[in-house]
Amino acid sequence: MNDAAKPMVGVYDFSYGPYALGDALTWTMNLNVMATAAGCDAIDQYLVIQPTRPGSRYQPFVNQHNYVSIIDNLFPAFLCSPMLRSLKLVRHPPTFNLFLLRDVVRRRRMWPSFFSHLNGRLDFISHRRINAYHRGHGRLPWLTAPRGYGSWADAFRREHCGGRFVVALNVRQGALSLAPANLFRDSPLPEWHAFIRRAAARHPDALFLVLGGYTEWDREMYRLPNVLLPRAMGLGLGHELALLHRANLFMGSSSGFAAMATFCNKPYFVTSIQHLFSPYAGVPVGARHYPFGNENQILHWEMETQDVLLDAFEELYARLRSKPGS
Amino acid sequence: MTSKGRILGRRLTNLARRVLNRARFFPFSLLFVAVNAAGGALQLRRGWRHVAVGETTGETTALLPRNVMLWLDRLLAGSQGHQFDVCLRLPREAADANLHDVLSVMLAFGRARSVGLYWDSSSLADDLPLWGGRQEGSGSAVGAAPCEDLSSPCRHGLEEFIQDKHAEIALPVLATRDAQTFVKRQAGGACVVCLNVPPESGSPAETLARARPDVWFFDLSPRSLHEERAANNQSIFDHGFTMHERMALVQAADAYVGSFDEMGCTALISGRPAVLLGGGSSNWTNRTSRGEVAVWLPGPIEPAALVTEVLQFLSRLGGESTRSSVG
Repeated sequence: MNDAAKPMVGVYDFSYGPYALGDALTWTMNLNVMATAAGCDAIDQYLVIQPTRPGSRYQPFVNQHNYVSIIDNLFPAFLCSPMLRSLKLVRHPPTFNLFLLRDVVRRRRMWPSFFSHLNGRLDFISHRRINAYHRGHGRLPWLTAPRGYGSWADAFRREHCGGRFVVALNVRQGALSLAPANLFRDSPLPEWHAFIRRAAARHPDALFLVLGGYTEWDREMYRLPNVLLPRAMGLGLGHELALLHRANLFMGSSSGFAAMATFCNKPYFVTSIQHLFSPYAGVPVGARHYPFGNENQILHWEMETQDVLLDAFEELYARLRSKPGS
Repeated sequence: MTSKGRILGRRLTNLARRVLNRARFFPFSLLFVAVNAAGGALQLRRGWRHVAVGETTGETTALLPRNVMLWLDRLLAGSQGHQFDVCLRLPREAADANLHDVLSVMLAFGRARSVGLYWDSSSLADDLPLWGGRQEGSGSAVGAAPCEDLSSPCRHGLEEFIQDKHAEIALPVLATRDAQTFVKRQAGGACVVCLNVPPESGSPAETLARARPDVWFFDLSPRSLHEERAANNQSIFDHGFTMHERMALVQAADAYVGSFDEMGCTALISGRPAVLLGGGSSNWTNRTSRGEVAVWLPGPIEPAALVTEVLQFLSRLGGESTRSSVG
């Protein structure tokens, strides 16, 4: 990145944007796409929090006493753009508004636009822009491992995974999270346990990295074969996102980690996708792939069973293992 | 203007701000942004805003969270209660995956308000005038601004940290609550020591626990998993604690024995008696003490010598809570 960089400005104001992993990653991907489309070669990100009112009306549980923990836990998600040049966490509205007006006066590319920001509008869910860019260019500017974590993930793979087939895995368990919400989206854990047992027996070289907060997986995971639990190894979200980026395959429920797999071009099998998400993704319910997805990037719109999971795993395993260098 | 008039004016301004802040749609929001930015510009002109700028030049960033903590502690302890914005110039390629830890330690200082992370000097230089009228710190330069080199603090700086008064850290209340509850449930009223011994100093936890059955040891180090252990020697490495949670645990304990890293800094800042190990150059040998409550052993130490040192340290503290004697 040189002094003559042409920057794109990204604003994530938590007064109208949610504290959520998937939304943060989708926002970053949209920002990447818009920066590339506008010919920008650098991204300056602003994360804006007003400490007295730190959350939006959709997340009333976020208050001035707990928001520091929440943003601290989410922070690595904002490090995944390869074009990232600066990241400012601003907790003082006058400071942010000075930066904002400066960038408006300089006519810098900005997302959301100045007018959308003034109206507190941010389309952080949809794939509209991503699909449009892919239609026009046939490629996407993918996310990468969080800044500073890529080389570490390579070393981790060498030390802990050898030459094994690494499957990053996340089973959504909102009921076990620190802020339970939308529990109807949770996946059935017993099905995943059974799947891991069967897959490990049939393919001993497969290694499952179970991702997610320490509270979000159950004790049974310790007892399963071929499983590593990064959070129980003293690691955090930044490490997990980097490990996902370096994994051979991602499998998991439609949730934050699935968004990372989707936008860093990993082979994946994503389950339990909400039907109401279909218009935002720009695909009909039941579609097997996103418009920018390939044959190794599979969507499953129903609740998963162990048979469904095993079939998908074996299909992807066979294809990916036969590829040179896998 | 009389003081009554000034108070009334301030109240009206605050009311207007709150009303505009609620009305988050155009054109009210534009008015809010303009008024707000004008307020920010006024603060800048009057020199009411303070920014601290640090940089790390090398790719080795293993000690960056600790060094940031030392730096912020020195700045905040030496200032008069005002808030700081903090900017860091970072290497694009870092050898250590700890950027999240760096942010966590910055957020732990309640007076460190906004944070700017930069991977590009020109961008930092461009932003600095809007961060603040006064730049705190000294040393090398990023653009035209004075800034602190955070790559490797000198021995003198580390010794000063052990002797100095400290700023306050304000960990998230949930982390503090959970740590206190955890310690209470596990150790009850026993004297609690957090162990965080670097690998090169061996594994003294079990020896210490057997020598001092009246003390409860929480061991943060990774290699202590799956070993046979005494009932008062508890490994918490695999508990999935975040940086803030580990810092809160160090605060909730009565003493700390371990690396001179961010956990060691937390212990000292929080007024906990501590034996600090390493954290400097390997050829530094002389110990540094602060009374009987803080000892820094910068050089390598044999495991047996470390056990003796720690047992002497614990005997000086006694078995009861020692917090009131430090600070």
